[in-house]
Amino acid sequence: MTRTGRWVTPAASGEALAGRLAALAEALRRAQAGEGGVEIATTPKDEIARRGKARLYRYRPLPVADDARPARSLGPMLILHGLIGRQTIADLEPGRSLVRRLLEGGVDLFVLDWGNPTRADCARDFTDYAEDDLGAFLAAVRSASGAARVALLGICEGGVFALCHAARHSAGLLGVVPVVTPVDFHADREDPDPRRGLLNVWVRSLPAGLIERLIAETGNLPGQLTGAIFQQLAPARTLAKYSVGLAALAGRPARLATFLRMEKWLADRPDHPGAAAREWLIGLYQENRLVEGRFEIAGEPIDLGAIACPVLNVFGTDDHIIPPPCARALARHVRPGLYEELRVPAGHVGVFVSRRAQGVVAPAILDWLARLGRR
Amino acid sequence: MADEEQGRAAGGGTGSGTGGAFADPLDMLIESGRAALAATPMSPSLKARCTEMLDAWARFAAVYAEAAGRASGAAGGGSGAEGGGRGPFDPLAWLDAGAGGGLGDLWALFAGAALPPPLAALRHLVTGAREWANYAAALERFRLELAAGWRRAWERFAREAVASPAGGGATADTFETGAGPDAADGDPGDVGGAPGALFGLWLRVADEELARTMRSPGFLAAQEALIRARLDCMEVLRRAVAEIAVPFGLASAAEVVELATRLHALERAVGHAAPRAGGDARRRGRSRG
Repeated sequence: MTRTGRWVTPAASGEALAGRLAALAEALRRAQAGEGGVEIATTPKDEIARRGKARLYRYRPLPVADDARPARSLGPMLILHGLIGRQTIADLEPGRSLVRRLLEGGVDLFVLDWGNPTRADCARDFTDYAEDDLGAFLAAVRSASGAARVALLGICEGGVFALCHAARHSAGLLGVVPVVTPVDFHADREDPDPRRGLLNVWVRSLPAGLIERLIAETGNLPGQLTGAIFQQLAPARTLAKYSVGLAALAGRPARLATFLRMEKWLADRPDHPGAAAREWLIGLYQENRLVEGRFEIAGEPIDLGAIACPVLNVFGTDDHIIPPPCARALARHVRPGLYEELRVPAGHVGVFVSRRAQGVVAPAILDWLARLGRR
Repeated sequence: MADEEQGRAAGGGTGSGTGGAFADPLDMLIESGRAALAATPMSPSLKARCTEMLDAWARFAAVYAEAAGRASGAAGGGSGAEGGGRGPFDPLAWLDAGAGGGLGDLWALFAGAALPPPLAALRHLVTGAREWANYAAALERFRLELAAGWRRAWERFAREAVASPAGGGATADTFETGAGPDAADGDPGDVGGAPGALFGLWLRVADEELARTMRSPGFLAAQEALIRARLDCMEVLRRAVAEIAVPFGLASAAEVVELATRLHALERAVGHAAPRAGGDARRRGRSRG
């Protein structure tokens, strides 16, 4: 931690503070009016395949840090998010972008956007996403890159998709990087911090029939509801973020821009298809089927021990949404010689966007990919 | 304590909040700061600077409350909005259906007074039903659980603030703000290191106490009851809307789900029968690498 001095300097007066707050209000007004642009995920990419509402993109290469290394010398790697939130968190802004760090390191990088599910998608389940769609898009990545195997980077629920796919189809994979990915949904009980694992407690407290009714109301799990629930996890900080937190950004346009980009990402909450939501909330959060070998894809149970490719498990030590024990539990199921983990001193989102994480996550993944390439 | 809080709320503080069950903590911080300034010997220039800062915070709180009041009025308000806005620290903003803020979306889903249009125009179809009374009762029970948590948070904060070096004998330094941990090191928008040690203490204590509250059996039962009551209310509304829709030939929600389910089954059957594009034929069994 660093202290950068008094926020209100000896020379500052109340009038100066009021002036900064007025400038802040004007900046917020402009952002709300769409002036000045609050854009995220701006790293250039091209669509190369689509399937239903999902789109597969390939990032254009950036100049690599090491002039001796050609672009696209590592990977290919496919980034996929889950169905709560979106993968754009990995490319929030140029200075907070796992995507850019990987491209600069020479990775041939692809990303999957699941699109915006509607009621027409209410019957889509984990088999659709983790088996059929992911299988088809991996084939497209192999075709575009010319590589026989692809590395998967799965974020949160996307990491569960990746692990399920790897348990069934390791031959086509270079490796899997689950990031902030829950594996043992009851391991929150091992976490001593009461602020972590509230989601786990809340979902377990509800009868399965009530969850079914909640999903059946619109056919899907509404993104508006999941967004509201996440805000409730740390109520004092949420309240403060929009008052004192904003005031602290007065006179700091770069930080205000980052704040607004984060808010833009937070507000982008697609609906979660109902059948997959039932599997997620009841099959995983309530019944913890994955680590018990009872979670099924395509009618067959998933055995995490069947994963036969290297795994780099990345998780945040301060993650209150996916408590660290829930992610670390993967170590008990993957063959020891294949498993590595990276502990990041950050929260669930901070693993991607904090300054601290920029110097930790991408270098570790690049090093891991380079070692895979030498095998 | 409660009487003092209500007295403070009635007396006004700096006018930033309406107080409700207990006064806006920001008002209390500002008043505490003024009291500390009055009691602490310091140079006139330092006292003037501290006073200006407190005045600036009070103006900010007043502007915030005014804006929150306008937003609350635009949203139809919630119970207890009392025609004015909440201060930025007022936990009751958390509990007010019309106040928006961090739980604006949640309350829009759960609070009848903030049903989004056009549902608001159809409230009369459900407000006479038994389910509505159950829902109103469940909402109040849920609010009580949260309010009790906030009260415990404030009481613990007051105890620890007095006992801590930063809180006991509050000085001008207590209310001068250090930048704290560089926000760039942490999550964007992380206010953990924002104004001063006292505020950091409040955030830590409040989130810990609220976390304990939200794990408690009372809260979990109230949350379950609220979800169930809301679903029951929406079901009454849905049946009424379905009756209206039938003469117009509009598909019901159940019919749409049935169609989507049948289409999905058909897509999956076709997928089984044909190889995937790119030569990735669907495999039924696991492959070990």
